[in-house]
Amino acid sequence: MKKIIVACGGAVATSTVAATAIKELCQKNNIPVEILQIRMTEIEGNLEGVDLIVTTMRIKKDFGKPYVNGMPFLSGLNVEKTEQAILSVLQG
Amino acid sequence: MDLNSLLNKKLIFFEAKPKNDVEAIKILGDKFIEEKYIKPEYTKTVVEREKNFPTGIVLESLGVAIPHASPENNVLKDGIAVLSLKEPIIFHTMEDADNEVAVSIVFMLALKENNEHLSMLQKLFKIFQNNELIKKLAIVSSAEEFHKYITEAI
Repeated sequence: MKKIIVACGGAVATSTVAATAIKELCQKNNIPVEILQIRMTEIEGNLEGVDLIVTTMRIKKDFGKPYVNGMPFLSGLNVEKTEQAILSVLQG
Repeated sequence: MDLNSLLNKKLIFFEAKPKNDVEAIKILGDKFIEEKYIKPEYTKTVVEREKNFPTGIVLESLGVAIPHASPENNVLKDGIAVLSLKEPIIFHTMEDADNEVAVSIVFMLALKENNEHLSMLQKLFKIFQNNELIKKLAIVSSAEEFHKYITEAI
Protein backbone atom coordinates (compact mmCIF):
# COMPACT_ATOMS: atom_id res chain seq x y z
CA MET A 1 0.00 0.00 0.00
CA LYS A 2 1.42 3.36 -1.06
CA LYS A 3 0.56 6.43 0.95
CA ILE A 4 0.05 9.73 -0.84
CA ILE A 5 -0.57 13.17 0.63
CA VAL A 6 -2.73 15.40 -1.57
CA ALA A 7 -2.93 18.97 -0.33
CA CYS A 8 -4.08 22.41 -1.40
CA GLY A 9 -3.94 25.88 0.07
CA GLY A 10 -6.97 26.65 2.18
CA ALA A 11 -10.22 24.79 1.71
CA VAL A 12 -10.25 21.25 0.35
CA ALA A 13 -11.88 22.11 -2.97
CA THR A 14 -9.02 21.78 -5.42
CA SER A 15 -7.20 18.95 -3.69
CA THR A 16 -10.40 16.92 -3.94
CA VAL A 17 -10.28 17.17 -7.71
CA ALA A 18 -6.61 16.21 -7.81
CA ALA A 19 -7.10 13.36 -5.30
CA THR A 20 -9.87 11.83 -7.39
CA ALA A 21 -7.74 11.94 -10.52
CA ILE A 22 -4.84 10.27 -8.68
CA LYS A 23 -7.12 7.59 -7.23
CA GLU A 24 -8.36 6.75 -10.74
CA LEU A 25 -4.82 6.72 -12.12
CA CYS A 26 -3.68 4.27 -9.44
CA GLN A 27 -6.69 2.02 -9.91
CA LYS A 28 -6.00 1.87 -13.63
CA ASN A 29 -2.43 0.81 -12.90
CA ASN A 30 -3.31 -1.63 -10.10
CA ILE A 31 -1.44 0.30 -7.44
CA PRO A 32 -3.14 0.11 -4.03
CA VAL A 33 -3.02 3.55 -2.44
CA GLU A 34 -4.10 5.37 0.65
CA ILE A 35 -4.73 9.04 -0.02
CA LEU A 36 -4.51 11.53 2.78
CA GLN A 37 -6.25 14.75 1.81
CA ILE A 38 -5.12 17.64 3.98
CA ARG A 39 -4.22 21.31 3.99
CA MET A 40 -0.73 22.46 3.05
CA THR A 41 -0.10 23.53 6.63
CA GLU A 42 -0.83 19.99 7.87
CA ILE A 43 1.77 18.24 5.68
CA GLU A 44 4.57 18.56 8.21
CA GLY A 45 2.76 16.59 10.91
CA ASN A 46 1.60 13.80 8.60
CA LEU A 47 4.79 12.65 6.90
CA GLU A 48 5.15 9.23 8.50
CA GLY A 49 5.13 6.44 5.94
CA VAL A 50 4.34 8.82 3.09
CA ASP A 51 5.59 7.79 -0.36
CA LEU A 52 4.56 10.85 -2.33
CA ILE A 53 3.32 14.40 -1.83
CA VAL A 54 1.10 16.06 -4.44
CA THR A 55 -0.06 19.66 -4.04
CA THR A 56 -2.03 22.00 -6.27
CA MET A 57 0.11 24.84 -4.97
CA ARG A 58 3.85 24.70 -5.46
CA ILE A 59 5.68 24.06 -2.20
CA LYS A 60 9.06 25.61 -1.71
CA LYS A 61 9.90 23.61 1.35
CA ASP A 62 11.62 20.24 1.03
CA PHE A 63 9.80 17.66 3.14
CA GLY A 64 12.31 14.95 2.23
CA LYS A 65 9.67 13.01 0.24
CA PRO A 66 9.10 12.71 -3.50
CA TYR A 67 6.98 15.62 -4.69
CA VAL A 68 4.80 16.15 -7.76
CA ASN A 69 2.93 19.33 -8.65
CA GLY A 70 -0.76 18.42 -9.11
CA MET A 71 -1.88 21.60 -10.86
CA PRO A 72 -2.14 19.84 -14.26
CA PHE A 73 -5.10 17.84 -12.89
CA LEU A 74 -6.94 21.16 -12.63
CA SER A 75 -5.73 23.02 -15.69
CA GLY A 76 -5.54 20.05 -18.06
CA LEU A 77 -2.10 21.10 -19.26
CA ASN A 78 0.69 18.48 -19.08
CA VAL A 79 -1.54 15.85 -17.46
CA GLU A 80 0.30 12.91 -19.05
CA LYS A 81 3.68 14.10 -17.87
CA THR A 82 2.30 14.49 -14.36
CA GLU A 83 0.74 11.03 -14.42
CA GLN A 84 4.05 9.56 -15.55
CA ALA A 85 5.89 11.35 -12.75
CA ILE A 86 3.45 9.96 -10.17
CA LEU A 87 3.64 6.44 -11.55
CA SER A 88 7.42 6.47 -11.65
CA VAL A 89 7.53 7.38 -7.95
CA LEU A 90 4.96 4.77 -6.96
CA GLN A 91 6.28 1.98 -9.16
CA GLY A 92 9.96 2.81 -8.79
CA MET B 1 -26.21 18.71 -7.22
CA ASP B 2 -25.18 19.62 -10.72
CA LEU B 3 -23.32 22.49 -12.27
CA ASN B 4 -26.25 23.67 -14.33
CA SER B 5 -28.42 24.28 -11.26
CA LEU B 6 -25.59 26.14 -9.54
CA LEU B 7 -25.09 28.53 -12.43
CA ASN B 8 -27.84 31.13 -12.14
CA LYS B 9 -28.18 33.37 -15.22
CA LYS B 10 -28.75 36.29 -12.85
CA LEU B 11 -25.19 35.79 -11.60
CA ILE B 12 -23.32 36.01 -14.92
CA PHE B 13 -21.95 39.47 -15.68
CA PHE B 14 -20.13 41.19 -18.53
CA GLU B 15 -20.20 44.95 -17.99
CA ALA B 16 -18.25 45.47 -14.78
CA LYS B 17 -14.71 46.82 -15.07
CA PRO B 18 -12.85 45.92 -11.88
CA LYS B 19 -9.32 47.25 -11.59
CA ASN B 20 -7.97 44.26 -9.71
CA ASP B 21 -8.74 40.90 -8.11
CA VAL B 22 -10.16 42.36 -4.88
CA GLU B 23 -12.59 44.58 -6.80
CA ALA B 24 -13.73 41.64 -8.91
CA ILE B 25 -14.41 39.56 -5.79
CA LYS B 26 -16.32 42.43 -4.18
CA ILE B 27 -18.47 42.95 -7.30
CA LEU B 28 -19.43 39.27 -7.42
CA GLY B 29 -19.83 39.17 -3.63
CA ASP B 30 -22.34 42.04 -3.79
CA LYS B 31 -24.33 40.22 -6.47
CA PHE B 32 -24.31 37.07 -4.35
CA ILE B 33 -25.61 39.13 -1.41
CA GLU B 34 -28.38 40.73 -3.54
CA GLU B 35 -29.56 37.27 -4.57
CA LYS B 36 -29.29 36.03 -0.98
CA TYR B 37 -26.60 33.40 -1.59
CA ILE B 38 -24.15 34.61 1.05
CA LYS B 39 -23.69 36.80 4.11
CA PRO B 40 -21.36 39.80 3.64
CA GLU B 41 -18.75 38.06 5.83
CA TYR B 42 -18.20 35.52 3.07
CA THR B 43 -16.87 38.16 0.67
CA LYS B 44 -14.41 39.27 3.34
CA THR B 45 -13.11 35.75 3.89
CA VAL B 46 -12.74 35.24 0.13
CA VAL B 47 -10.72 38.46 -0.23
CA GLU B 48 -8.56 37.42 2.70
CA ARG B 49 -8.01 33.91 1.35
CA GLU B 50 -7.15 35.21 -2.11
CA LYS B 51 -4.24 37.16 -0.56
CA ASN B 52 -2.76 34.09 1.08
CA PHE B 53 -3.88 31.36 -1.30
CA PRO B 54 -4.54 32.92 -4.69
CA THR B 55 -6.78 31.11 -7.19
CA GLY B 56 -5.64 32.20 -10.66
CA ILE B 57 -5.24 29.32 -13.12
CA VAL B 58 -3.28 29.39 -16.37
CA LEU B 59 -5.24 27.55 -19.06
CA GLU B 60 -4.23 26.76 -22.62
CA SER B 61 -5.52 29.96 -24.18
CA LEU B 62 -6.36 32.32 -21.29
CA GLY B 63 -6.47 32.74 -17.52
CA VAL B 64 -9.36 32.06 -15.14
CA ALA B 65 -9.72 32.42 -11.38
CA ILE B 66 -11.92 30.60 -8.88
CA PRO B 67 -12.00 32.75 -5.72
CA HIS B 68 -13.64 30.88 -2.83
CA ALA B 69 -13.26 30.25 0.89
CA SER B 70 -14.42 27.90 3.60
CA PRO B 71 -18.17 28.47 4.11
CA GLU B 72 -18.20 28.80 7.93
CA ASN B 73 -21.97 29.38 8.00
CA ASN B 74 -21.66 32.40 5.71
CA VAL B 75 -22.98 30.62 2.63
CA LEU B 76 -26.78 30.43 2.54
CA LYS B 77 -27.25 28.83 -0.87
CA ASP B 78 -24.81 27.09 -3.23
CA GLY B 79 -23.92 28.98 -6.35
CA ILE B 80 -21.34 30.16 -8.86
CA ALA B 81 -21.11 33.82 -9.90
CA VAL B 82 -19.32 34.67 -13.13
CA LEU B 83 -17.60 37.83 -14.27
CA SER B 84 -16.41 37.87 -17.87
CA LEU B 85 -13.86 40.57 -18.61
CA LYS B 86 -12.97 42.15 -21.92
CA GLU B 87 -9.92 43.66 -20.25
CA PRO B 88 -8.24 40.88 -18.27
CA ILE B 89 -7.12 41.65 -14.71
CA ILE B 90 -4.18 40.28 -12.78
CA PHE B 91 -4.61 37.48 -10.25
CA HIS B 92 -1.81 35.57 -8.62
CA THR B 93 -1.67 31.90 -9.52
CA MET B 94 -2.78 29.05 -7.34
CA GLU B 95 0.23 27.06 -8.43
CA ASP B 96 2.71 29.67 -7.30
CA ALA B 97 1.62 32.78 -5.41
CA ASP B 98 4.66 34.64 -6.77
CA ASN B 99 3.40 34.30 -10.33
CA GLU B 100 0.71 36.36 -12.02
CA VAL B 101 -1.89 35.50 -14.61
CA ALA B 102 -4.13 37.79 -16.68
CA VAL B 103 -7.65 36.54 -15.94
CA SER B 104 -10.47 36.81 -18.46
CA ILE B 105 -13.20 34.94 -16.57
CA VAL B 106 -13.71 34.95 -12.79
CA PHE B 107 -15.79 32.13 -11.30
CA MET B 108 -16.54 32.94 -7.67
CA LEU B 109 -17.73 29.87 -5.76
CA ALA B 110 -20.10 29.86 -2.80
CA LEU B 111 -20.41 26.29 -1.58
CA LYS B 112 -21.90 25.26 1.75
CA GLU B 113 -20.18 21.94 2.34
CA ASN B 114 -16.82 21.39 0.72
CA ASN B 115 -17.02 17.66 0.31
CA GLU B 116 -20.44 17.45 -1.31
CA HIS B 117 -19.33 19.29 -4.39
CA LEU B 118 -16.81 16.95 -5.83
CA SER B 119 -18.68 16.13 -9.01
CA MET B 120 -19.59 19.76 -9.53
CA LEU B 121 -15.98 20.88 -9.17
CA GLN B 122 -14.82 18.18 -11.50
CA LYS B 123 -17.29 19.42 -14.10
CA LEU B 124 -16.05 22.95 -13.67
CA PHE B 125 -12.47 21.82 -14.23
CA LYS B 126 -13.59 19.77 -17.23
CA ILE B 127 -14.89 23.03 -18.66
CA PHE B 128 -11.54 24.70 -17.97
CA GLN B 129 -9.79 21.87 -19.78
CA ASN B 130 -12.04 22.23 -22.82
CA ASN B 131 -10.11 24.87 -24.71
CA GLU B 132 -12.68 25.36 -27.45
CA LEU B 133 -15.44 25.93 -24.91
CA ILE B 134 -13.34 28.31 -22.81
CA LYS B 135 -12.51 30.37 -25.90
CA LYS B 136 -16.22 30.57 -26.74
CA LEU B 137 -17.12 31.55 -23.18
CA ALA B 138 -14.56 34.35 -23.26
CA ILE B 139 -16.20 36.05 -26.24
CA VAL B 140 -19.93 35.64 -25.56
CA SER B 141 -21.64 38.74 -24.26
CA SER B 142 -24.93 37.52 -22.82
CA ALA B 143 -25.78 35.40 -19.80
CA GLU B 144 -28.11 33.30 -21.95
CA GLU B 145 -25.34 32.35 -24.38
CA PHE B 146 -22.84 31.71 -21.59
CA HIS B 147 -25.30 29.48 -19.79
CA LYS B 148 -26.26 27.68 -22.99
CA TYR B 149 -22.67 26.82 -23.96
CA ILE B 150 -21.98 25.40 -20.51
CA THR B 151 -25.23 23.45 -20.39
CA GLU B 152 -24.57 21.96 -23.81
CA ALA B 153 -21.06 20.94 -22.81
CA ILE B 154 -21.85 19.11 -19.57
